[in-house]
Amino acid sequence: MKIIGVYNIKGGVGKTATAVNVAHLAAKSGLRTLIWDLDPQAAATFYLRVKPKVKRSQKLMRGKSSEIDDVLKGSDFRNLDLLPADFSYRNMDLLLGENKKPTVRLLKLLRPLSREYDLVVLDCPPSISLVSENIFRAADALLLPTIPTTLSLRTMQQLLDFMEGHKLMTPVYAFYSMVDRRKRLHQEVIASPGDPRCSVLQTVIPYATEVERMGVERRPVTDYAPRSPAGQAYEALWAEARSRVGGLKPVMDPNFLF
Amino acid sequence: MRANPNRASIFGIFQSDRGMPLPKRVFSNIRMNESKISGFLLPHNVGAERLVSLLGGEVRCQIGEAADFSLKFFDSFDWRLHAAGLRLLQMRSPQGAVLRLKPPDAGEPLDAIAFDPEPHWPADLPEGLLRTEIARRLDMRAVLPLATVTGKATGLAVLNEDSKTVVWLQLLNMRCVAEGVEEPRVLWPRVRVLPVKGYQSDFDRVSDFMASEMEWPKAPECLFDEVMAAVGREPGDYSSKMSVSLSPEMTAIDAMRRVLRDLLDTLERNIPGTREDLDSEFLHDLRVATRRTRSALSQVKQVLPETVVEDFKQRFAWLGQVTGPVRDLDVFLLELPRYRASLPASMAGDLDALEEHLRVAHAKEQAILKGELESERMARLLEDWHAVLDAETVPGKPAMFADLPIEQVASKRIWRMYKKVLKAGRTIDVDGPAEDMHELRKDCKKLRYLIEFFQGIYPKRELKELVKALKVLLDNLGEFQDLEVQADKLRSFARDFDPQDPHSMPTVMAIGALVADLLRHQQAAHARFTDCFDAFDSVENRARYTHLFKTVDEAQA
Repeated sequence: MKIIGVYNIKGGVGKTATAVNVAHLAAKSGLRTLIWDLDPQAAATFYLRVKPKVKRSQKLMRGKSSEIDDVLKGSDFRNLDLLPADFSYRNMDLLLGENKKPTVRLLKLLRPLSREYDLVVLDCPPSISLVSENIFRAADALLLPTIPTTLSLRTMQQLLDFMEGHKLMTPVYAFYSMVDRRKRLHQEVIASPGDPRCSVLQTVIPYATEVERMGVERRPVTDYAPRSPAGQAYEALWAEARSRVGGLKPVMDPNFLF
Repeated sequence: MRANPNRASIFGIFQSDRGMPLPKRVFSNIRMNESKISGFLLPHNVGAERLVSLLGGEVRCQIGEAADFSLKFFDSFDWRLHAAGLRLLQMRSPQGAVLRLKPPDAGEPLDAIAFDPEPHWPADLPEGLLRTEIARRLDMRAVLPLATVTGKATGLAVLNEDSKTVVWLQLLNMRCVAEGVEEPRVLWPRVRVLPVKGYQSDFDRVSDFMASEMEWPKAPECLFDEVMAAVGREPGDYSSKMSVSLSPEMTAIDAMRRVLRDLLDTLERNIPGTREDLDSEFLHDLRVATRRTRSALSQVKQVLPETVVEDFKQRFAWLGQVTGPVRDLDVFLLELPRYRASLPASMAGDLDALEEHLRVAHAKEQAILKGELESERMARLLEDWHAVLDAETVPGKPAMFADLPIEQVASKRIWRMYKKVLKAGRTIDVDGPAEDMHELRKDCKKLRYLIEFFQGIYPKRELKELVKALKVLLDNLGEFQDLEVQADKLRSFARDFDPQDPHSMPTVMAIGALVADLLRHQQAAHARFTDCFDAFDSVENRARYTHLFKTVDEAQA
């Protein structure tokens, strides 16, 4: 089982859209995929039409981690399941970094799932904290959606500094997101040599209304508009990420027939 | 509702990227995600639209993608997998082919592998649980297709009020064909209900609705029984063991015709497989049926008209002869792994040239055999034999014992043959000529065949013990002779290799080592003979023979 974290310190960079579309494409390619909504805004949960059950979180909070299987939700897509945001609330300590060993806790929560899934995509909360540090440690790779603006580049530097400071070796794959080709600044940033400490992927995700429509459709762009420029861009992003991460082989669905 | 063709299909068996190699072993270290699936039989001619309207407002669903698939069941000709409680099937869809081995009533297979060619020999399968399990059941037999199901699977998503998929449905429309079945047989359509994680109550609701409201019968977990019935096959409908139902009062002629008819049936059923050389057992069973037929003709005297006996004894002798060479080579090829194992590891490879030699000879002899089996002579033999056995009354002058009760005739023959074996065995000079041992073996075989022909008229339990002791003796005598024959043949093979040729030298030497080893084993078999015969000649065993076969006549005589 591989773990990919989709992360940015800054919010509103297309992080959840990336997580949902990448997870959808992974599932479509035959990988048993889990998307874990760690973001308190629960956008990934909403996009996949799952009702967040915040009301039950009090009761759930007393539960044990072994019950993880009970809170998993199948999506509208074969091979794609969701660990909804309310599960993350239940494990609030994880979000707040209260646990003594959050990395261990994160991996421990995932361990029972390691035989059921080939890929876990973490939709991470925007912020930099003990939580993020532990997500970085648990993940096999980080996908870093970045808007090509000066401010965004600064937050990217901050992240890389942070990782360097904490001796975190997790590979970081940045890519430009919400790109408007008409903007000169966007073009200049994309053309400029990036930070040598991280690889910048070839794929560029354009700014597109199709992506914004995800909130209305409550489905991945790669499902309702796979041929659109945005849909194609996510397809290319997934292909690139997949080959960078490696070791992602599809497994047959054993329950097909008989 | 808007159709959504891009929604992920639920038949993504393995929706792999094109060009992405599939893993060889699918289930190793994988726990199944869903274990609970329910299935229901539907009325005939139910398609996807009809299913949606049948489910009505209670279960709102949306039709998704459809995919074609096929399913092929396999077993050996004599149903070895079935006898072991296993089912082997290959499932094919546009995404690829999977071979699955499973117990009869379970949804979960023991093992499954991605495997595209049609399976035949276990040795052609990738190493793993599936291959091991099949190989140890099949021994020298190959797997053959039993029947093929072709069908269309249509996916449907059951939606909740948020239009979220909460249950998957799979509608299966199928038909099946098998060799010899002209029109495809339509199977009952069925719907499978597959749970979506986290929506168990919806799964229960939909399953209950189908069971209680719609009153659809539950579909069996596996299609096997249904498919076999549809194509008119009965699992276990072939066995090389004889079992002819006879009653003691039946006339000898009727009983004999029944026995011979059974043997003819076995013989005929093995012809196609022998002709195509599907595996070596077809020829073996064909030869056994031929030998038994000859034995029945010559051993059960004065029942069939003399003209018939004389004619067919010769004609079946011909069949025994023409099938001999291939069988001899089969034996060597089957023994080869054991031969290699008996040699020091460094010499095992030296038998490669011998194997090649055997294969070339086998191909040549097989072609000749195929010609003989397709010959006019063979066709006439079968036709004429059918005419004798299927006629109202057997043509020719009725024989003396034809109308006696079979029990009387059978017991007399068995008793006589038993006495003959006993006498020869008691007086044989163990270190005398090998010929005597061979003669004894022939008589033992005749005795065994006689008992097998008429087993239906004797109590099973007593017969079982008696046959066991006879089999031990026969195995011993067989080993003694077969090892000698093999050693002789190997010597003659060695002569086919040029001793001057440095490349043939290691082969000739390996054959030499093999011959020495075989003869050592033959000596050991020889040494065990006395014990085997003593067990056959034990007080209890003698009592069994006397009780079962000694007739009043004999006692008086």
